[in-house]
Amino acid sequence: MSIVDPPEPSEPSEPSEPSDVVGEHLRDFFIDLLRDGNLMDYRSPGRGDYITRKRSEGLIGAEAETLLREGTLEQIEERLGAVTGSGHAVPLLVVCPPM
Amino acid sequence: MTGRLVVVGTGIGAARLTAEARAAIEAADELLYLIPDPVSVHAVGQLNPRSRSLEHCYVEGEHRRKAYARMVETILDPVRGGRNVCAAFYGHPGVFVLPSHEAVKQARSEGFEATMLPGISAEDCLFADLGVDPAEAGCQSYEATRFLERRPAIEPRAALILWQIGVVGSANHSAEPVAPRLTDLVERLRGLYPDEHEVVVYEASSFVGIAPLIRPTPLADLAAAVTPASTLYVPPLAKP
Repeated sequence: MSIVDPPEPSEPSEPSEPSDVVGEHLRDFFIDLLRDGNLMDYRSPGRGDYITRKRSEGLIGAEAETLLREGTLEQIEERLGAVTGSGHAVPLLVVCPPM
Repeated sequence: MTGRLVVVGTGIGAARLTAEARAAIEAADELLYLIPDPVSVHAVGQLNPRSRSLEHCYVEGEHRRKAYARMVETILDPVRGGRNVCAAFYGHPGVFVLPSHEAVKQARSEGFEATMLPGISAEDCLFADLGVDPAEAGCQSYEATRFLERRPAIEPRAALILWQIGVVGSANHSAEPVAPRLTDLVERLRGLYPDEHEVVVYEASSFVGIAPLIRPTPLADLAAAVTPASTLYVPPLAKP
């Protein structure tokens, strides 16, 4: 019986540089989520399957898929910001004065 | 025709719009909105194509109060013209939002019907995401710059929430937020809590399924953890 080292766990793919295309995919994904029944599917235990399905439908690309599965809020906002050109998906629209 | 105003909150993220706010948005002759995330902007535009943003009211480097005055006038102009106007602000329109309250007051003072409908605020999200209940120890909530300027008496055995820590000390609008008094804020807190007290830098997520930013950090290291849009949660000190 040979002893074989278990394979190294694969590293999660690193998102590439900010891209307006990835941002558009993310924006379109979240907008599509608001359509009939999609939010329920996404919130169900099969969330990963839902993302896979949207990838196969061509709504999102590989990087958007990775971000939706593993990305942080900051990464998502950064990509969305590339679409608006603001640099921030959620630009700081402060509506309370300091004094 | 008599104009009227409904001010609504769109919540934090497009999926958190209430049915009541949605109906008000759809029913309006004109929708004026101040919403930062592009998904929510798209969603309200779908609900009412007669919409325009209030973002142009901000001028880079100018005191934010001037922007708020412009917003109030922009909202009231069509009301005075007999239109049924909906003004939509992200989050809760009555929580840490000046122009919404001012618009309602001004409209009423001019004899128009004006109402405000609640929305889901960042604080509501915070309680859910951090799993804390303000009923447990009580909760104090301040705008960060006012907290520094007015130096309110703080009960360290109750929770403390400080808003707008990412722009503390800044009164002007800036596309690149600055927090010139962040060091002062940390020093003030260090006078109230031990350096090792773990605080939480928090930012609600506007995007369904994407985790909020939750960054626990010792108080002494707070300055390095702050993001432009974050809120600070200071847990209560344990009872002796």
